[in-house]
Amino acid sequence: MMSYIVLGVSVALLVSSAAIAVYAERRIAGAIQNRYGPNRVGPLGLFQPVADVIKLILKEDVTPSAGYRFLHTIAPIIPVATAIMTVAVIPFGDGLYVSDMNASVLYLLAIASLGVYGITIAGWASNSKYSLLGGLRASAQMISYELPLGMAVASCLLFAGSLNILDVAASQETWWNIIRNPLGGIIFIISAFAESKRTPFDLVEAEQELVGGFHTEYSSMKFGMFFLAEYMHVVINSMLITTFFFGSYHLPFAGAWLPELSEPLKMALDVSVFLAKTSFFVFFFIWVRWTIGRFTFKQVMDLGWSKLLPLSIINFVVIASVLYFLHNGLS
Amino acid sequence: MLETYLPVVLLAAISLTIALIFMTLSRVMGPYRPNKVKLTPYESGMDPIGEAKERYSISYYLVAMEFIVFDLEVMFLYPWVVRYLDLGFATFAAVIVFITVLFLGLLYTLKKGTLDFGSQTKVKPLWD
Amino acid sequence: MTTDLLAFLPGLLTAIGGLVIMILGAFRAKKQVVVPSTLLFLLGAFGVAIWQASMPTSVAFSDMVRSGSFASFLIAIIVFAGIVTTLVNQEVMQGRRAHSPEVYAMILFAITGMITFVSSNHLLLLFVGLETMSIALYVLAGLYKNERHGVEAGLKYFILGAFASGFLLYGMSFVYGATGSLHFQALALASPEVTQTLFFRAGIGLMLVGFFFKVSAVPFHMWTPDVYQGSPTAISGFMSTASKVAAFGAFWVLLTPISFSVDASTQAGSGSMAISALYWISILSMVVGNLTSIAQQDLKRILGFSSIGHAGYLLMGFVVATPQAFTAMLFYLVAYTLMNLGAFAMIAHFERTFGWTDASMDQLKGVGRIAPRRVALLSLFMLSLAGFPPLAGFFGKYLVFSAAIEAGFVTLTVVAILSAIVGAFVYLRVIGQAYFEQGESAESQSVDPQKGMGWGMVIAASLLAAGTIHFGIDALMPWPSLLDWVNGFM
Repeated sequence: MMSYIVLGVSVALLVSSAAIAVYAERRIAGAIQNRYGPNRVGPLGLFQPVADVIKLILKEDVTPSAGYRFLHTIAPIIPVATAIMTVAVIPFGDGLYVSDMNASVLYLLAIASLGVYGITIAGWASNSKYSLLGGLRASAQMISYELPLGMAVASCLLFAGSLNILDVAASQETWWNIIRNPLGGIIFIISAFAESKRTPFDLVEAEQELVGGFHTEYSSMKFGMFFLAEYMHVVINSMLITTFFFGSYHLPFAGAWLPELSEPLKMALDVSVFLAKTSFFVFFFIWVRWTIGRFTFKQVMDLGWSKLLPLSIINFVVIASVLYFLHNGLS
Repeated sequence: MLETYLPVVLLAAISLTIALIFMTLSRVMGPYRPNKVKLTPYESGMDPIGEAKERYSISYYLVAMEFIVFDLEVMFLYPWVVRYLDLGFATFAAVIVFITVLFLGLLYTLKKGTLDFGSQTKVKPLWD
Repeated sequence: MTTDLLAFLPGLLTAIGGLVIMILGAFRAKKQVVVPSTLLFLLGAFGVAIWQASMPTSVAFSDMVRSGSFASFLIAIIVFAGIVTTLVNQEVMQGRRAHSPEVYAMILFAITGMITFVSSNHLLLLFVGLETMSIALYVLAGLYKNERHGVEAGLKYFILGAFASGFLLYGMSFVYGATGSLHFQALALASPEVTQTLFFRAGIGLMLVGFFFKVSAVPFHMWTPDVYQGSPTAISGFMSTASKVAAFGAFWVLLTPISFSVDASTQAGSGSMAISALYWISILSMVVGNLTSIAQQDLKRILGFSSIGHAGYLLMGFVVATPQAFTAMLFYLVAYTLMNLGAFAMIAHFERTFGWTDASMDQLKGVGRIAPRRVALLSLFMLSLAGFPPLAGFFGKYLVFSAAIEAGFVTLTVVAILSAIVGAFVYLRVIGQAYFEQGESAESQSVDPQKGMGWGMVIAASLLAAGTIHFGIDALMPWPSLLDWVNGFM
């Protein structure tokens, strides 16, 4: 029963958090650039995202005549679906999860790698050169950064000894993975940025060069779905960074000092700790976007293949060897 | 079994429903007045030149091939990671050798410039 | 674990060598570094193989790898072919665009695959070895990718080879379905009820198709001349010898117990079916290979068709399947490796020295006057291929034919002798072309004194020539001969 409550709450949270993230992005951008940002619709401009969605819905939905209508239509569904399906395995607190499957890390990676289809299909089905280029770049970038991401996750699993995310979260009660495995954490965060195509990796949808890349030919709510999915992915990736490296729902070194709490209290604490960390990383995503410039495609590929991937492999081997020999001795 | 996977199926259904509702809403509530110019692909305001499906750089194919190799490597490591402490030194050594061989392959492709998107210089023959 | 690794030491050495050469190549190593290191790894593997040849047969890696005298013997031949190819190739490929460290890495990887292939005791490992070998050879076959014949060779070999591997794998799955095991011993001990099933027979048949492709037996031979013509010549020699040694050795271990056991129990078993298939394919290979080579004008194509014919003689060993035939086949493999490698090496040398654009017979006109000693070497290998006494080729044929006669296969032997006579004509024609024809361009063919035989070619050619002569008279010598050694394997 619990899992269905979590399911309902988390989906509602995810969809609305995307809207909140859009609003936050524009307000923070305003603050960083020393201007106001949206402040007209509702108090402090809080209803701006709602107005945006209504505007998008009321716009005309155009499919380019030379494109593939069917593929063009299903493409925006995929990123939204993958974003929402990811929450199935994220633990929001001790015992607060949607599904307790035993290989949830594999599920997570499988769903995450499905996301690339939406982008590629969108780029291909539009029959526009900008879209095709954007789609190609996006798919190359996303599959390239999936590898260091996967290796970083694998180096986390070495501590947990399990493919279940719940165990990964539980294993960080005292020592967060970012302390035990700092390099893996950095690699994971960079890869998560690339996977969600945020600055500095947003060259695949660069307005100035590619007119928006793969969603050049999308309008109305179909474009809105890509937009929604991008912010959902920001939130999801923040959750994953939190879960894998920043102690999930645990306070720092909680195992060492936190006394036994009653169940409702513990639940409230867990959820608020988790959400606080997630909010921080959403803020971090936005912060980086308005601070750092954009990479070129060559830089992106170089960083992924010749820096992050070798580093993540070496990191994995070193951690595995250390843990193995600590456990079994040097025999 | 059902307890584990029913929520996942439910999530998939919910996400599809949300997506479909949004798209139907915009179809129903938005205007629909297509014309020829509106339906042509955007090419900075010019008439589109040729088909969009042109040949593209072979580097993308190479990236895809490399991806398959290393994605499989990662996938092979996952099951080992779960039980690696109890499997003994032979298994440990085998996995390290496996990683090393693939790592050498990565080093080789990087050194050969297979994944180099920037430079257009032809690879020169090594020996004369 | 240590015993496992020791049992597979030659393969390990070549695999590590391949990786080292590959990385050296990535860091732009000089040829003066790459070639000696290749030779070093190959010599190491050769030494280990010779050392292990005196060991009893044993299994390692949970019954998947079989080591011991027979496997080591095959490994020694293969590695020897690799050494000679490296020596020849580093000289004749000089100045070509395709000449790069990767060529040597690929030779080492191909040898690793062959070693895995011949030491496998399990169908899966057999397939892994076969694929490692094949993929490296596909690359090598297509090295001259800017030439018409080079592209043809690479593509043909790759597509047809992949197709044949598919047959082999499909056959393995059938055999697994019938017997429930992939171990060689389990297949050999399968009960007649199992071996009578259509599944098992179909599986063996499909696997035979893959095998026939690899040894280029008729009717799976069409790729051979084209591939040998388009590949770099030294590599053609390597493909025609080492990969066939590997295929014959591995399939001898796999197939013979099956045909033996089934024939003993029931006269109509799948064994006799396989034997009759082998019988006809052996005859077809000999006849088609030797007859078609008459019409050829290109030296490399002639050698391609001749290798089809030689595959036929070697398949006779499978048909006869007695201990004598086994010995004869192994001896023939040694002789064939020596003389065929030698022929290809000499052609490669001429190609480079005289700047031939192709290896057609006309190019050979009058070369005998310009370079009589080198043509004499070529003639030696050609005569051995034709089966003239007292060379290795003659003795090999003699052993195979006498084993066949002893076992009562008279028709087969008569066909073999007739086709050998046809083949002899072709080889003699090559020699005649070199010595007795007056080449129009013979006078104008400038011989650059700098382009004599380099050290690699000298070592390779003298090794091969010495071997060709030695193994022809080996059995007559007072000391223990190769035959005595080979007899000990059974």
